[in-house]
Amino acid sequence: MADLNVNLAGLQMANPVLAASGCFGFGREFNDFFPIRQVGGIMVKGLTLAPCAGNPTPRIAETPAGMLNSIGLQNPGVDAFLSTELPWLVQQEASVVANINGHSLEDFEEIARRLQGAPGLKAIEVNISCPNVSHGGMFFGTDPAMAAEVTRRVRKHTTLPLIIKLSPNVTDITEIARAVVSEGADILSLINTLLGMVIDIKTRKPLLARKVGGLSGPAVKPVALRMVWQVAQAVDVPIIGMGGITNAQDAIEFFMAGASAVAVGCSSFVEPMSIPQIIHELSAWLDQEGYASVRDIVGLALE
Amino acid sequence: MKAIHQASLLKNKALAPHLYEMELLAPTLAAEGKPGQFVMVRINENRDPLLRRPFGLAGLDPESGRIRLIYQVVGRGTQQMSQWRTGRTVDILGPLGKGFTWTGESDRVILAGGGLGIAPLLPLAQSLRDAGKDVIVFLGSRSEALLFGIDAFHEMGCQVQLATEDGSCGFKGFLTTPLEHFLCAQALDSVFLKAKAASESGQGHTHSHTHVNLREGLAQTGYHQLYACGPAPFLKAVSAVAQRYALPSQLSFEERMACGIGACMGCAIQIKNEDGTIKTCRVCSDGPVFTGEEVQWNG
Repeated sequence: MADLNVNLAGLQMANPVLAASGCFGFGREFNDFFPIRQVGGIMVKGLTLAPCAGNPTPRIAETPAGMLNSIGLQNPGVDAFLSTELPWLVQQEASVVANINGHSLEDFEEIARRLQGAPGLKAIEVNISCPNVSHGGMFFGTDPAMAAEVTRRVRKHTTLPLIIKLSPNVTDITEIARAVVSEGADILSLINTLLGMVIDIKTRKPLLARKVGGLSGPAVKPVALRMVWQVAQAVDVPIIGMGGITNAQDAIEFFMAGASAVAVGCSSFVEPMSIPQIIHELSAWLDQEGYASVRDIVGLALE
Repeated sequence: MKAIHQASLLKNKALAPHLYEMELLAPTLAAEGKPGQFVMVRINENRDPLLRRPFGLAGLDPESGRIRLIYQVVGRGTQQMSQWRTGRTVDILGPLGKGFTWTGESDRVILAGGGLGIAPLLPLAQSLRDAGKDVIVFLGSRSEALLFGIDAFHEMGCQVQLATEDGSCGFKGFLTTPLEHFLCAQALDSVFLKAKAASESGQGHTHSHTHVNLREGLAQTGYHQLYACGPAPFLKAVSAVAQRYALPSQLSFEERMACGIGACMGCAIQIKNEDGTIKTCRVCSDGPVFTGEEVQWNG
């Protein structure tokens, strides 16, 4: 059987399929369907310093082969994560990545400081790309200098593998990628959602309460794949590829584009068993094609 | 226990233009589902449309292993569903959410359903009748063609009152009007009966009564619980009527949701804590049933 183990700059995982942040809560809902320790890594719901109530509803709109969300980082805050969610996840033997969000540079620093040394935490993913909040969010991820500054500040406070999650809502994603790598990013994850909107022609108004939201699902996969392919050629750090992955074939495309691991997002909403199914299918495909390790297919489409 | 079920489609028929009833063979769901719970139906394999569609359980028959769903064709997903033929296998996630609850205390209950919100009241009424309660049902919709379940409620032995916005059937207007009339009449009747009894037994000073307390009056009628399902503005209006009579209510909400299991945070609702602070809950997993007293209404 093919070896699914991967080590991304110190982030050691039993398989390369992660749960994307915001699409897996803190794992509790999915543990009813399968043991969540089977997930390569769980990127938990985005954390903020203080608890956050999120945006008004409607927060969800379906689009062709995709969906818009405008959740607005509803979460219990970093302290509740540390006292309640993380210990539970560790008890389930889950591999946990904390996704952190700030309204200011100081927020990012303070969250990283509080997470330093947390038992069982495997890595930190810095979200500089959330399109659904008014202060901070995507603002940090669309300017190379600002993205670099966030990375530098968080880097000071953590010894864990540092993942920076990139926004696709930029002209040149490689520019941002280079900027954050130069300030100490160990791993890049991409893409976050694409900013979009839906208008309700009955009410003559945007459907989402916050007017715009983040597009995800199969509709964004070609864009995500292209960006992973570009970034893989621009920088020398491992990439976690995501965007519209719903099956092993999608995941394999991301590996071939240069991703060392993949994350499954809104597919888990539609099919709660999506992640274990993809891991299983991936393993079977590698065997069928005669690969000894998933690492052997990373970047095949780059040459 | 929530799980994915492969159900067999037994019936899929139009009740009215754009309004359909679906019957499925899903023995585990039929046995475990409770009134007020819902399911998420997968539309197809190719993920376009992407998301599952939520439907309240409109019928539960553990003996035959059947469940019933009632849906309106409003978009691409329900349009495709309306074309499904019997014999097809349908991928269903459920049962989801927390359903309605009842106790042995209240022997008379009131149900109010608006539009498709009538559907979850069907199995609820059956359970309440099985528990030996008197049930009166208020049904409202835009017009007569969109009303359904009337015969079924009658067969269960429920009283039924109707309201349509266009007046094509029953009261012309919102069902809150006949609901309020009913509550008022019940409460007044109770107050006067009590006064009459007091007068006949020589107690009390009925002639000095200048204030009629309808809340106390209703409390003495045996009506201690209202159940409602429908769009949020409907629930807000029904809940306001109930609160005027201090009548506790359980409201089942409809909201856009992606996952149905509590992971996506799409279906948020503001709920009051006991200390008056507000928390954001999920309609899918913390609800869809909340009490009228705990909901923080916005707008």
